[in-house]
Amino acid sequence: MTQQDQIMAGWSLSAPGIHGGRVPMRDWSREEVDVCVVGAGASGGVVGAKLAEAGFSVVILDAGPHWDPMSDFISDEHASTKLFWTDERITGGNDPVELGSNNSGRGVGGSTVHYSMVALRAHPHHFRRRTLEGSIEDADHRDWPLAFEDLEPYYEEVEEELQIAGPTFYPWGKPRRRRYPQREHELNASANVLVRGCAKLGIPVAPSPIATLSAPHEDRPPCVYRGFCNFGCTTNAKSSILVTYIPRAIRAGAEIRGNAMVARITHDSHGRATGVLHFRKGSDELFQQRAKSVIVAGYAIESPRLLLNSAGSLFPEGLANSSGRVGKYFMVQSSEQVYAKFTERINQYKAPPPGGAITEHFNRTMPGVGFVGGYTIEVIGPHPVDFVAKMATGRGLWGEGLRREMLDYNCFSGLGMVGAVMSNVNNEVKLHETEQDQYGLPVSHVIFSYHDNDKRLIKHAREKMTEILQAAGGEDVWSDHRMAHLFGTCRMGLDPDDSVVNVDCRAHDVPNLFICDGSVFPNSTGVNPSLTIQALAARTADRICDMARRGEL
Amino acid sequence: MTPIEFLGLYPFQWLAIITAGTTLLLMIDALVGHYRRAFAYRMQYAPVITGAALVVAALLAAIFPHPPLLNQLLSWAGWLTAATGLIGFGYHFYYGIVTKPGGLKWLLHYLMYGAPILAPLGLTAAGVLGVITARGLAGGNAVFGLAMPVALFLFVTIVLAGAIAQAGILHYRGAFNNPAMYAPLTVPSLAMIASAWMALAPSTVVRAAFAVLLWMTLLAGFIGLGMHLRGLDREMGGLYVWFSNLLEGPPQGAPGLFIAWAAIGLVGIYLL
Repeated sequence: MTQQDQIMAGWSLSAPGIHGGRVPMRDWSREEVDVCVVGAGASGGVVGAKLAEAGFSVVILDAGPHWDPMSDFISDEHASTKLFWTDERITGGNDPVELGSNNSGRGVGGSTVHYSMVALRAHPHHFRRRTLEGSIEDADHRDWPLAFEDLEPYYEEVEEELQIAGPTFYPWGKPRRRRYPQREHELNASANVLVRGCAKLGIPVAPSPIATLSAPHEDRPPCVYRGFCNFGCTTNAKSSILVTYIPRAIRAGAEIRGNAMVARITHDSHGRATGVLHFRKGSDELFQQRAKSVIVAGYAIESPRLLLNSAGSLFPEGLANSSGRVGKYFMVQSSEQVYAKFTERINQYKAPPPGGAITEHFNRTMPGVGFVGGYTIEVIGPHPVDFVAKMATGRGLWGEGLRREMLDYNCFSGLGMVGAVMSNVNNEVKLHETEQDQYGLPVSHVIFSYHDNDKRLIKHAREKMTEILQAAGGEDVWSDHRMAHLFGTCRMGLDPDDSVVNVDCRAHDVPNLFICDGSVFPNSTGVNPSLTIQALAARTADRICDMARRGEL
Repeated sequence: MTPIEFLGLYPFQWLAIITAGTTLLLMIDALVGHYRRAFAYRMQYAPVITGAALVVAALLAAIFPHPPLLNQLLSWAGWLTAATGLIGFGYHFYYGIVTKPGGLKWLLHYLMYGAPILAPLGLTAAGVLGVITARGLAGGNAVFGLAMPVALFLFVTIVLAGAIAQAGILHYRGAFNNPAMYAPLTVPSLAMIASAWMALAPSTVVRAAFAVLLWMTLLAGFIGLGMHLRGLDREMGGLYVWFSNLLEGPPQGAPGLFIAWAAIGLVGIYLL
């Protein structure tokens, strides 16, 4: 295969903003690179770009294409399913997780191309939950092995790169050292509902920090409030990894190889990773990418799956799995949504889904409520197809009744929660015994059940959201069950027998293997995780640079 | 006090022209802003109508400085516009902040995204300038109990303060994404101080410094006009969808106010 053929077969190189064009970049496919990153999403993009800028030779692989926002993103709900990871997976447990939509991403930029951009920092207490809240029966409640202060400079770093638009004064969490790089966005009508309701109930509410521009930045224009953020932003106002860190990585000499599905990580007889084997679009052949270090950034289902699929004679239970913790302690965030109908037009789909307002008032362990942990209440703005599905599942409407109710679509407004969920050894991602995907690889079997604590937390949030909507004048309140965000299947810890990676996201078992994404979270927080994942990736990149300097890699 | 002629026009004729120009800028700004809100309230037509009256009256007074009737007309149009501006300020404050969700607790948010709070007061200032001009054209040496130059310098102090504050709020909203956005906070602030100084304790040194600062403010205004056009181009779609971006992007006429306010100071220094 010539280099040109490889380009035609594997690379979809059209870059952000270059309509139908191709971006020239390095081709590392025949060489041993310093670092091979698996996954070009929230963490892979950050760690890859930073390492490339530090002088490492880097290739970042992603199973999906390298999107061109202008030509690939279509402002259409149905067409946007191509942004999700829709390969076969099996789901189970008492509360099976719905997979293949909001909690997944496929393609360069990962889920950041369709996420809702809520860019919150975790709070200092989230890192010390076990210490502060004690042990919880039937759960493996944990502290993080690092503190908020370890991540704080990296939060600042990624906020600067993503040009987070946030309020001048944000009332929750540790007070900021620096202002948000850009100012908050204007409230949309759904956010007005939240502010109105909270004001009436005396609940503090603030502008929401989000990762979309409120003012021009470099060659990117500010948001025009079209509201199609969840289907891929066509204007590049959204600070996805695709238009921020990926161009940086390319400029620094990294190769971004789209349509490259990694099948396994290879290792030598000393137990060191030697690279990855991957498929490329249009070929059944396995290609090898040799690498001195491998960073897995495939999120909490694909990362453990890849490690488990990489089992070999030295690692019979899966790579980096001597502790047996790979795939264990799988967590989501509860994301119940509550809707109400208003007499005025809301047009909930207008503007970025977070609307511009948020309350973290309940994002703490509250006395006397019967559960630990907290949650955030955010504005949501589902488009009609999504909304009609919620009406069917949440309200049990169908047929003529559903059709009639949907005529009032523009008068609905909704709130959603992002709630902390308990870590539990019975919740896991494992390889399915019989099912295989299109590549012939065993698919993931994802098992999840809520803890009683989670259920009580969800109930509390549902009641509070209902009160807020009613205080704002909403009627016919109803709720829909939902989950979001994934964590915990390669958790971080100090004890190699009880965790998969150390504080630097380095595998305890394989010294040149790093796992750097949401799967390393030892507990789940009450805030959207993207910023924490990105900050962790930025920190990991710096730690890898330090290790390389000291010759420890 | 011997008024000095410049390009064949006397100082108050120049002030009448500046009145017309300033009002036109503010009127267009109001037209664009109120059109953006689809003239939801009938009162939103008021600044356009009274502003138009003041523009016509000021231009007539500039061309025919002597007929007392035209002076009187300018004075009336000035008072009317000034009153409209004050009422507009009330509307902008009440409907743009107080009655919004969160109200005054969200003051900073609504200062950035509500109706521009100081814009109607700009119209009031233009109206007052019309009244001062009418008084001057009628041969008066004093207005509001102040000697004419003192009144003008105090006027410049106040309007510069307003323009700086409004630009500061909106440039803060734009996160000072271009360093040039700090410009309205720098030179005009010094000019504002110098203007107050000239009104209260004039001296040749202050006058010289004031003159330099006014020329710099004037220049900054012209650069600002260019930068605002560039800002429009940096919005989504740029100049290709200029009309949409006219509604969403930086207010195109706003930097012109710095030109106008500086020009008044220059008239006060050189021609009165």
